[in-house]
Amino acid sequence: MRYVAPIASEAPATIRESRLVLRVLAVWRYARCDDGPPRAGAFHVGDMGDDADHIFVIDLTHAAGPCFTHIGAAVRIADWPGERVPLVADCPEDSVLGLVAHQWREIADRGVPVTRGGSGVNDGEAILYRGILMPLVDETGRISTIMGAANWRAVEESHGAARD
Amino acid sequence: MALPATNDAAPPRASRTYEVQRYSFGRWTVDTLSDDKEVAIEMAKSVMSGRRPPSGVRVMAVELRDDGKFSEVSVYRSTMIDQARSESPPVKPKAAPDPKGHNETRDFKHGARGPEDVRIKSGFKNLMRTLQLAFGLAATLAALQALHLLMR
Repeated sequence: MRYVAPIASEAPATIRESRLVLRVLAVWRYARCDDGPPRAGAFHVGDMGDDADHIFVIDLTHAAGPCFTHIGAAVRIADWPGERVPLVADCPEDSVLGLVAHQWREIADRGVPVTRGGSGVNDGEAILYRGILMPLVDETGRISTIMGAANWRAVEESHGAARD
Repeated sequence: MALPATNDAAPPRASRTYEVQRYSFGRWTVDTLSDDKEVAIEMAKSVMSGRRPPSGVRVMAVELRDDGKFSEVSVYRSTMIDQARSESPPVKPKAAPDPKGHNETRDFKHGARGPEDVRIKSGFKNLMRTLQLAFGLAATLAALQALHLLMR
């Protein structure tokens, strides 16, 4: 799966003022043709504009199991996956990418976007995170891809530094 | 859909989930899911302000009870009518009631006439008085003329 360079988003300007999960959800909604999820081939990471660094994509049809086909710079994990296939199952749990991506089965079951948040660990520090996973379908209407986004902030003593 | 077997454990389901549901073609369908009420309501609002808003949207708090049954409680609801109402200008306040109590009197005395009727009647009265005065003047002049002829 290949994703093209960012294109100008035609989404309404008002969505730029909301939180990350709502912004990416608005773009996902804009891309759908009817009430179903958008086509995977017609929806690209670049459509997310400035939020593209927080986006990751999971291919559910990979022979070895669900694996990442794209990981944005902001959610990338140092020294992972190396030369191996980036399977979701192998994604470290102590990362915001793992915390969010491991919920992929619920999206495959329900067929609708799901957002969840909570506390966890990312890059060695305690965080509060919120992520969203959104289904994309192939030509037959089957959910073949999941696009996700996540952001977080560190929790240090009484206050944390916002990352988004 | 047949998904490949993995060693991913299913994430623990939250005890309470918020379902954003949209009403279209005569039925409610799940649009998105959230574990946070505030986020769910924001999502619902974004559905209605989107490109193709449905007839209505609601947020249901869904909770799995101890007996294995689900309980659903609506925590937010919005329809196209609500949207139109919120976007339309505020309703102009009605004028204060007539301090003389004219309206109150009319509410109870259904036979009473309105200001337009009073104005018409008043004009007719003035016309009649003018005619009476004219006839009286003419009669007086005629009587004086007759008296003058008799005295010759």
